[in-house]
Amino acid sequence: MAAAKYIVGIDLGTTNMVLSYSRITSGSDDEADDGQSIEFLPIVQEQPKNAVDTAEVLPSFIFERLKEKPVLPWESDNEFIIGEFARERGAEVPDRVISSAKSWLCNTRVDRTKAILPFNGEESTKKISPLQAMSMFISHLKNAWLQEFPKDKLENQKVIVTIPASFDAAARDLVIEAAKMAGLPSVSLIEEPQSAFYSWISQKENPWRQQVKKGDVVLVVDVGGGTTDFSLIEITESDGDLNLDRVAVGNHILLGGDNMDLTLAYIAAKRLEDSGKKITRWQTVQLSHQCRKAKEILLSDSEKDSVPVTVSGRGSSVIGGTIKTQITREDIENSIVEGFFPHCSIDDEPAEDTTSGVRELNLMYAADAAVSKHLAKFLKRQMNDAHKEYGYPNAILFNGGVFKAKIFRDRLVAIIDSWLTESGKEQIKILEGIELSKAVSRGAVYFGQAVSGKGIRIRGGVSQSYYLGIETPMPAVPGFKPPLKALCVAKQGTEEGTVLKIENRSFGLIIGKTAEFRFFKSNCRREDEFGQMIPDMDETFEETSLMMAEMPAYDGLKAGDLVDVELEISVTEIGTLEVYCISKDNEHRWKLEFNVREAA
Amino acid sequence: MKKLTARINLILILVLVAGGYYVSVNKIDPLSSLIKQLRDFVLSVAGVEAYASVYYISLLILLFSVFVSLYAAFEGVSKKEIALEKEIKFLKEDAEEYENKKVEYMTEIKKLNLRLQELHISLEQKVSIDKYEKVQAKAEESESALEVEKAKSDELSNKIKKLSQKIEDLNSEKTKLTEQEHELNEKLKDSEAKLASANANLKGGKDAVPPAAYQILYLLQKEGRLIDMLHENISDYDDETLGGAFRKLHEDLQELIKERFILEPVLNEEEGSTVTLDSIDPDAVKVSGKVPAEGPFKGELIHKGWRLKECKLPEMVEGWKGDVIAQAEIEI
Repeated sequence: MAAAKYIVGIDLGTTNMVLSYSRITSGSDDEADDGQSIEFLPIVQEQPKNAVDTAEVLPSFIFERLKEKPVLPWESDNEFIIGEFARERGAEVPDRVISSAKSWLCNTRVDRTKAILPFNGEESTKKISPLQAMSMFISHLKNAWLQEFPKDKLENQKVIVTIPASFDAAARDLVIEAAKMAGLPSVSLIEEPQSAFYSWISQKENPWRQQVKKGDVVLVVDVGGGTTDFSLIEITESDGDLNLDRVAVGNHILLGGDNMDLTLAYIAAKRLEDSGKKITRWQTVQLSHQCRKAKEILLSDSEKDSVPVTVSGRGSSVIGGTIKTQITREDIENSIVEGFFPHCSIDDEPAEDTTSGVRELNLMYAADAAVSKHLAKFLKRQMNDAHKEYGYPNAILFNGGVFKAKIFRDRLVAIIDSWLTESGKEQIKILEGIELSKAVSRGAVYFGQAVSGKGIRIRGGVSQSYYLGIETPMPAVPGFKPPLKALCVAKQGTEEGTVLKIENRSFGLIIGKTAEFRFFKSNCRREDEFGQMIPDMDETFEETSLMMAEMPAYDGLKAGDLVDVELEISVTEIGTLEVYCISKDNEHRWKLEFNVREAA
Repeated sequence: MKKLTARINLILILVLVAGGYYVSVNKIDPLSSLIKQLRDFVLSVAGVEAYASVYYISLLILLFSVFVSLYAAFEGVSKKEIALEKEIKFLKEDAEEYENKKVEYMTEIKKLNLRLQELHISLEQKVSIDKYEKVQAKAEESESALEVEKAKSDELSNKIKKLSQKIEDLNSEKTKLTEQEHELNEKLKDSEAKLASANANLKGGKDAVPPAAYQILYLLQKEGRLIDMLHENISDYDDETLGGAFRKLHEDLQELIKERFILEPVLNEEEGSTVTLDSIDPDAVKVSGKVPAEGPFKGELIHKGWRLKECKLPEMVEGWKGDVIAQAEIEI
């Protein structure tokens, strides 16, 4: 393999993907590049009418071709359109479009390797798996890169892929797998809020060392187009220099800026319907675009009280067919600010989905739009354990296009301050200098430099604690399953490159069968130690994908034999978790694989 | 031992015969006389009784010696038997050996016979090989003659082949050339058409439709509905309806123009201000009013002008196909 010439950051966003890169310099600066040299790849994309064009963002949409002929130089028979044109056609033919593929990757209720997307699509539609969809995006980026750099293939560069911090170990594995399928055998992963934090560190206008001090706990709030992500980063000190430790991550919340646009579109549609006009689905899509623009105008221009939203006639009578209404400042304040950032107490929890009966299998969209309540739940959970201070952050770093609007930043800060003052703490400090929309991919490149030894590195490690479910031995009672105990196999924060063995506990596995373990995670049990057995599992544990290993017969051991194994856990350098069963004679090892096929 | 016992036996037999004769002559009751004589002999040994006792003792000895000699004879017979058996065994072995040797000789004989036959055959062969060699030599001679002939004919057929190949080559070259000619003609037609259209474009003639014209119209219609808007009869709409609709279309068209065409003013001064230019490029600046023959040109800037710095149209992979700039739409 040729030596890497570039560090490449791929931001696999829920709605938009971006690829940033920076040339690897041979200088031995202590500090990494200040971000000035980071560039964004113009991504070649298909356009209507047999045309191609480039854009800095690749919309995360895949559309199954109808009659459109493939035009990209690297595809002669691709059945799918990817990117801008796919989004456009998807609005017109919604049954054939795949969107939010990334969120499907961490949906434990479906087989993520099975062709299920577009979800609920017609029988005749060609379907692909969430894994395949992800791999198609990466493959597209790889080909687009090759157009720009024919001599420096992407597989030879140092590639960092960003993922939501809330992605569990199985979803992380799937991202790696998708990259492999796309022909990128060695990529590293970084959590998006961490990446945003790196981006903030890399800017020079407001040096970060002057903004935080030892002992500070920084809350990173990242509200993107489709997802909301929380992380806590603690500033520590060793050898007189500041260190950064990522100490907590939130759950996967499918809630973001797109929800705001949709909310406004519904308001506008209702207003139009009230005045006697009928709104088609196509018009709702157009309304949503218009409402986003209206929202941006109202949020940036405090003089305006309302912005008209207009949908042109679809037929050739464009003016006669125009329907028009408006979005007012009141709408923004009542529906968006109060809807997404309502004042609430730290004890408030987001409303759970209470619709009774069978719930349609789909993406687990957040049932409560209140970002502030999701944040309250996240911080409250931190107060449950030994590190109570993590529940009371000292500083906040915003990320995501939503926070370009001062009104949202101010409101969230006001809410957090109310929580802090209530418990007698100081008000939260707002960290300045981050560029909100491209911070994640910019940060990924900085991370790539940090890994190579330039600049400071956030110590993250395993994002949450992981547990194997172990059945408690007890006399059989009909209709009563033996209670589970949880064996901690990865402690939150265990650093990359760590290999640990649970010494004093062994398991009997039967050759010829599939060894199966239920697998749990928790993001608020920081005091559990590696190898510790937790007798009662409460609601702080969340079940995730099963872990399993095929146990084929091997030298001398035949089906039915019992073999004693010990567990070895490895946190890889690229950011994934691996669990091995090792026979006691130390001669044979089986890797436990995440079963992403069956719903947990 | 044998002789000794034989002699003793002979003597004893003679004694026995003599004793028998004596007893029969003297009519002596043997048993009573024996007991009598034994008694008498013990009491007083005398005359006939003495002989009788000697006789009986001798009889006893005789019986003993007969028994001994009989035993010895029996033993001798069995010894002889063993010796005989041994001898038979040796003889048998000898016979076997002879038999083996006989077989060996027989095989030897067979071999010799074979050899003899072989020798006969090789002799015959030698005779025939000589003959054959002679014949072959003759055949070779004629064959080489034939080869010379053949080479000659080969050369000829080669020459024929080459010639026909050349003919073929020439033929294919001819087809190629015709094809090329055809292609060139096509290309020529194409370039003529292109040239015509380019000429037309250059001049802006009535048949001029460069692909970009389709593309720009397509984009203006798609993004800003320009064609629809300009073709619509707006006389029946009130100003409010018009204003609302136009605002949206204006916004969309503005976005398109800003995205696809990077424009900048020809002159950067404020419109309405006075500008002075030493010289004028008539393509860039239009002067009106009282225009002097030479510079400097001083006057009020009416319009800043526009310059197209960059055109960011999507690349058309196969040019523009057909003449449609806005598809008909059907919703199913």
